[in-house]
Amino acid sequence: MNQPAENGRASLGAGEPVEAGPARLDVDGPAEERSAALGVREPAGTAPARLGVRVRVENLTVAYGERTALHGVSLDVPAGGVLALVGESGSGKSTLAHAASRLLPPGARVTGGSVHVGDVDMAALRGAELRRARGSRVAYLPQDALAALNPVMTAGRQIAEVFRIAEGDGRRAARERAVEMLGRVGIRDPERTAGRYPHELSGGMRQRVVIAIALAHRPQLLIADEPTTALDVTVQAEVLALVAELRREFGITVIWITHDLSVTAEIADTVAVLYGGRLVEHASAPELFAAARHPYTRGLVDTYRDAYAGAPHTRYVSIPGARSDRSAGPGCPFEPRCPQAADRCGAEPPPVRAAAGDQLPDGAPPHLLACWEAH
Amino acid sequence: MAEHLNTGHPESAPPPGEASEGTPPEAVPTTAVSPQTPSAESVLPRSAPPKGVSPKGGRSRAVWWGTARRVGLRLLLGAATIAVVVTATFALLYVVPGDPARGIAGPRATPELLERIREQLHLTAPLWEQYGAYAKGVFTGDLGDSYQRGTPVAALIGDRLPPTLLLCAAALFVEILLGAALGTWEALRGRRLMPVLMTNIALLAIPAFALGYLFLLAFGYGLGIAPVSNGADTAHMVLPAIVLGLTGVPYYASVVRDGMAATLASPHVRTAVAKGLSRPAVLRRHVLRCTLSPVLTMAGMDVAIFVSNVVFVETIFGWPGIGSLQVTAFADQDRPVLMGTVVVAAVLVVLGNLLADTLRSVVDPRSRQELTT
Repeated sequence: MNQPAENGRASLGAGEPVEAGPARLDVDGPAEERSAALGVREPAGTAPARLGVRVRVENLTVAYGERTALHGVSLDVPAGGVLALVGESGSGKSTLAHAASRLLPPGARVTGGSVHVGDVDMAALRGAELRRARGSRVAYLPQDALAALNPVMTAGRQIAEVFRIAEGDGRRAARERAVEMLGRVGIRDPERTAGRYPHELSGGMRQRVVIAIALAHRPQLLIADEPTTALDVTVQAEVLALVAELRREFGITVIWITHDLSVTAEIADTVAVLYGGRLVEHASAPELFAAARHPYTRGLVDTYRDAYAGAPHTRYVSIPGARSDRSAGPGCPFEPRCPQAADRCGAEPPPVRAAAGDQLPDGAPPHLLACWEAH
Repeated sequence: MAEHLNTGHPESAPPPGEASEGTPPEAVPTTAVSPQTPSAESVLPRSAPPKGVSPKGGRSRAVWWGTARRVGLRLLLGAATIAVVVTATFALLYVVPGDPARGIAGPRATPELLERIREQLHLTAPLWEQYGAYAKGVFTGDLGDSYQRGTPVAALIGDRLPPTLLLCAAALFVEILLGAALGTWEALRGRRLMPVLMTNIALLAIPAFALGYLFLLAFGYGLGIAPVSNGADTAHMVLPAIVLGLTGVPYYASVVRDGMAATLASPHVRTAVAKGLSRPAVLRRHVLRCTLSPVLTMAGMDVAIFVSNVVFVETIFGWPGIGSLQVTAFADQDRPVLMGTVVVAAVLVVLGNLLADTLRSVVDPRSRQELTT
């Protein structure tokens, strides 16, 4: 990951398997490739399907009633790329995920901007067109797998349902494909698991079932809304490796939402940092970890670095101040906690602009920044 | 433990002052025995479950075993419930003032005649003997003979049971249909409507007998739509079924509304939407079945409510069921009939709950694991 993301999918799945331990991450060094130890193997010689398309989010604004949760956020993910969307609770990252997959809860609506997946604007779709686009264009990978599965339906039927709706398969054919899909996401006994109810499965298996549902559509964009948060570290590492493997296989574009920088370091090509519903920084993953500019991102990276490098008795550094205030003033949302805050910061939100600095390698995404004081 | 020792061996009981010195030698035999009993108890249940849940035995067999055990447990609990009901009714009837012998023979009967009747009815025997005879009868299906009519109570109830069951089924239909429709409508609407809320509260507040007279007055005498006379045909069933059902509508409406609203807001419905299902398909395939489970629980509890409400409703509308039989029996001081109807009602409640529970475990796989331990 030190080298630039040459084709937009450098860090995931492309390299040789090196180790399969739990996430051991080095901020400055490359994230280890860990795609081994999984039952999913691409047969040699077959050209992998390339489902991914370029995804452009432009000026996306989402409001819950009167309150604006997302202020004109723009993102650009190349086809087959992985963008990590980083931010704390209330930063608007889940809102963005729901808006892009058109799963906003009632009461929330997109008030401006667009989400282009390929050449289709998800934000503008209605009715039957929208239903067809859900799943097949954008698949949403939810956070809590147990809650996201229907408790009174077997895992197999829930996956088979996708084939029945999307491709009109018969009951038996859909079930066979569901079992096959379960095998593909690394479940050892897919036939048996297909007949089980969600509450009878382990956390890791449930997450695999949810991944199977999301990928059964063969989507162009996968939006993963912190799918590993509820899992313990080893299962989390397995799921990350699985998604990496499947991403290599299907070549889909991924937006991975997380508050965990170690996950970010492991999977992302580019990182977008949200704070208080605004984009504060956007850069390639190596660039961001090496040269974060925004005070918030710097605090985040420092905290993460301390947590990994710290001796057992080191006190972790946290970012001072309360978390992002939802009813912030007119200025920069980070201003109340910012060590560099100036007068201007509280009055006017900073625009997103290119960061000053060294020449970036060719093909790397631009380093964008929204701060009055940092450059 | 010390108390047990004292009562067991009054002579060797240590004086209060020497309690600390006296207990060790006494405790020796008990400690020698007691570790064995708990260990025997604790080993048995631990070794028993793997038999049922053994992975080798196959999943379907394990599920079957679990279901059978749960149903067995419920039946046992039901039998206990019925036993308690029998005892309670028996006790209650003997507290109630009144002399059945005088009820049978009339106010002019001589004391000798009354005495003879009491003799015949075994009312002179000690209470516990009467209770024993009755409990034995209940177990063998013999509920005694009616004081008033002389016919077996079981036969009397057998005649009256089908109309009551029919009425209850019709009422349940009305109740669930209206309640589910109202609840679904409210849940999908997302916002509560004042008139609906007021109607619900009004229905909750009005007792079945008041609603019954109101309906009889309005539709029977006022509008003349419904028959007023006694009878057991369909036309006569409409009003009582509606009255009996209406009183339960608010409960179903709220259960369905809450259940459906919670399901609609749950992440798994979001997953269903994300699959590209249309709204009707989401409701049919994913919301309905999740809402059904609390409705079934409600229906199980409803049997008990029906059993009490049916008494009023049947009497008001002259429906020839268990309820009106019970009222007549109460007026006549016909103890065997009264007790018979109560016992049958208890059995109905137990069976209704069992049925609802079994259906629920079919609908909701999560509830299959609830009662195993």
